[in-house]
Amino acid sequence: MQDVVEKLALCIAKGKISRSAWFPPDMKDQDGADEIAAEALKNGIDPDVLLKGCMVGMDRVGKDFSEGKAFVAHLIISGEAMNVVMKQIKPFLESDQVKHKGKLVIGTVAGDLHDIGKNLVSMMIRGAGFEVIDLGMDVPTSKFLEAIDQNPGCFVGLSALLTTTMRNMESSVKEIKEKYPDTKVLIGGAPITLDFCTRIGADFYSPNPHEAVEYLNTNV
Amino acid sequence: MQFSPAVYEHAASLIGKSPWEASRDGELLFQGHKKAFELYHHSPVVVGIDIYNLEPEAYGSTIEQPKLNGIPAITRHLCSSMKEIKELPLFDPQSAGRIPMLLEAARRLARALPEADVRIPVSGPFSIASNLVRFETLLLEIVMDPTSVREALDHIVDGQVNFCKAIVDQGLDIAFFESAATPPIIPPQIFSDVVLPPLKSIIDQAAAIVGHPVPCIIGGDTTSILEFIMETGTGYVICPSETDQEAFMEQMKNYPEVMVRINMNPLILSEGDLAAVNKEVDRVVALGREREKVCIGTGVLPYETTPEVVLKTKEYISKR
Repeated sequence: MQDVVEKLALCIAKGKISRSAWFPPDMKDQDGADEIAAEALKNGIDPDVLLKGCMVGMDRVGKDFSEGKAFVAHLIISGEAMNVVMKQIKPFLESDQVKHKGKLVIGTVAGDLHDIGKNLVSMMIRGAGFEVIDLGMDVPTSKFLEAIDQNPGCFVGLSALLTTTMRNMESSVKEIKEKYPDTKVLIGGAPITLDFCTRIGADFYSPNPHEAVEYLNTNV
Repeated sequence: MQFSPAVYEHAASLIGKSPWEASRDGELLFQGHKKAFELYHHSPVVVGIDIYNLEPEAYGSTIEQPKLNGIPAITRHLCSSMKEIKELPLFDPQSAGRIPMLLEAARRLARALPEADVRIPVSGPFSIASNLVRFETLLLEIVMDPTSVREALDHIVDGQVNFCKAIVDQGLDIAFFESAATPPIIPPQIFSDVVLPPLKSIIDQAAAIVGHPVPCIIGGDTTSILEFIMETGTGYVICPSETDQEAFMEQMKNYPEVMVRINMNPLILSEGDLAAVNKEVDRVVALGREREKVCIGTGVLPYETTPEVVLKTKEYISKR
């Protein structure tokens, strides 16, 4: 089983989606995440093992990104490799045969129509075994509150790419904390800083998705 | 040292309008940038608000109105793959999207402000592609199928040549913007192999059309791609606040003929603490002290920045 975890983790970290994909060149003509996952399920391997392979692979590429050794393009391609595995274990997730570690409600704050940062974080957190409820872009506070109400115990992630919309982030965080003081709120985005996070009363900020995953793993 | 704030959405706030309103009305665009120049006397005056949306909209993308004072953005992409981009008919700068409105506003500004260096923002091919397809699609394809991406970028270059000709026909000048291609989005090697050849091609052609080297503005952590940027033959670059500015300026010693705009951290300006602003100015001035062709910039001035802070910053810089 450890062999399957390691093989899948390698494919995901390096972005080897399937045998037919030429990337990465040093894994040409080798099985990719798609074939390894299919073979494992056919051989009766527990879907949890596949999920573990995804988690280890995404953790590796996320760590490389936080250390400046990988780029956003690498995260995207690793996310694609992870998606082909998740597609195969989806029925097990839906039937509760495989449990998520927890839930994250995520969205880009009101007035902000940018989503690449949010999508990257969502992908990494999904890869870490959490269920992600993506509210999309330009999300008003009321929609965050409604989602928290429907998903007790969830974490909440807010993203802003613009200095202009940081103010909307501040008001959303304050309203969420007023109504749900125990809900952990994570924030991120290009203009966000740790000082800003502290000032507005959010629980966590990180400049890269990897640290957000570590925070969730520690606090779940 | 000359002060060159980057005024886009801030121009809208100066006339009490939202970025959406000012971006879609030629008169408001004119009034906002005129007001900004009258206040700051900055150079160049790059006309526009949501500058990276212009060409994608001219190709047919839809821009959505954001709530409040958000910056307009493309939320539904025109193409689903780079192959589709290759098949797009080139836009006509005389009639497509907001391009005619922008050219007219810029012409009026150039007439009203003869001392201003009025420029039209022209996006680099990669940045345009990143708004024609989902960014994730572009990034996936640039790794999985770089040849197809390169062909699509070359196709976009053909459209940009037409755009540059239309700008020069109106007696206006050009500034290039290619910030979507910055690390950590793509690795320097992919920048060099896939993004640089079409970027160099359009910057070469634009320089030939306008008769002098044109600026190549790329924000983000650009020190690792600086040598590639210089291969474009540009005459003007920015040293972004997001990069290792000391290392950047050290490398630029090899290019004394190129103007460098060293950017301050724009957040410090938007927070309005003048002591912090002055400290930031001191830091940036020290970085450029040994260079002749250098000016001090701000990155994109946030909408809510108060003009008083910008003016105090300008005043402090003039005393340095």
